[in-house]
Amino acid sequence: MTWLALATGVLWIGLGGYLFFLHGRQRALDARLRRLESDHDE
Amino acid sequence: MKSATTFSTWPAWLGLCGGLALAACQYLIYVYAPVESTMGVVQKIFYSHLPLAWWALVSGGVACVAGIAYLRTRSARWDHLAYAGAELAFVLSTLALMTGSIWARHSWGVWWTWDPRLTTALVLWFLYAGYLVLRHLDLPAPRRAVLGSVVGIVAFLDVPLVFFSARFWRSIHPAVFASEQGGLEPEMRLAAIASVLAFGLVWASLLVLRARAAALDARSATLAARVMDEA
Repeated sequence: MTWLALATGVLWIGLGGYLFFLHGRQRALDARLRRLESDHDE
Repeated sequence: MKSATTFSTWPAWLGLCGGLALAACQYLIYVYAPVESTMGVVQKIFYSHLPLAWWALVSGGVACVAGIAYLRTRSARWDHLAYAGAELAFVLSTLALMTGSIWARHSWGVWWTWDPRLTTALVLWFLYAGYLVLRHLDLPAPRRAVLGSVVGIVAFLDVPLVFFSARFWRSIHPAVFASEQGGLEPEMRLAAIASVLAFGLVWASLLVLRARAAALDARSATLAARVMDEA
């Protein structure tokens, strides 16, 4: 049961971590693009 | 100028549907599918391990096809899709290797063995890790895209090796759907297929979201260069 819990934890933490990475990257990109677009428009 | 936030939300809804489907699959895995007689409840790692491995191989296929399409058309959207496919291939193969290793420790008594299936899967992991390293080299974007496409195509050569290794060579890794080795009971087969399909919804959403992020990255690099030129 411990091995099953460990493997399940690896799966969900791994997937969750990747989703967190994607979300953070998306937010950073959005902010950077907004900043660049306003610099370009000025 | 088009705002960064005008993408439609359908991939997120697809991911949500995938998440709900995965949640429903937990019933099939832990209640509907029987406990395997030899390995016991630990065998249920299979229902996580199989979708991860399957969609890692499919991700490699996406990276290869998108790489070929980029080399033919030089359209950046294919490069973004190729990058997303390769990154997903790396992430999913990492998780597949880790869950497989945990299952191996229980079933075979070792964390790792140089079995054909495991070895070719590890080679696959290194190939896509190398792809990601190459994509972060300080090169002009078109050259980086061509390099990535070539590496993505070459890396895909290992995918059929991984898939067929357990069938063609003496491997202790089970070839799950090979009928000559007994295969799965019907309830297990249903739970496995449902898990793969449910995870596929999540995978599709991740692929599109990652490709969009790559497109935004490229656009921000272009804009940054333009702002610097105008400064």
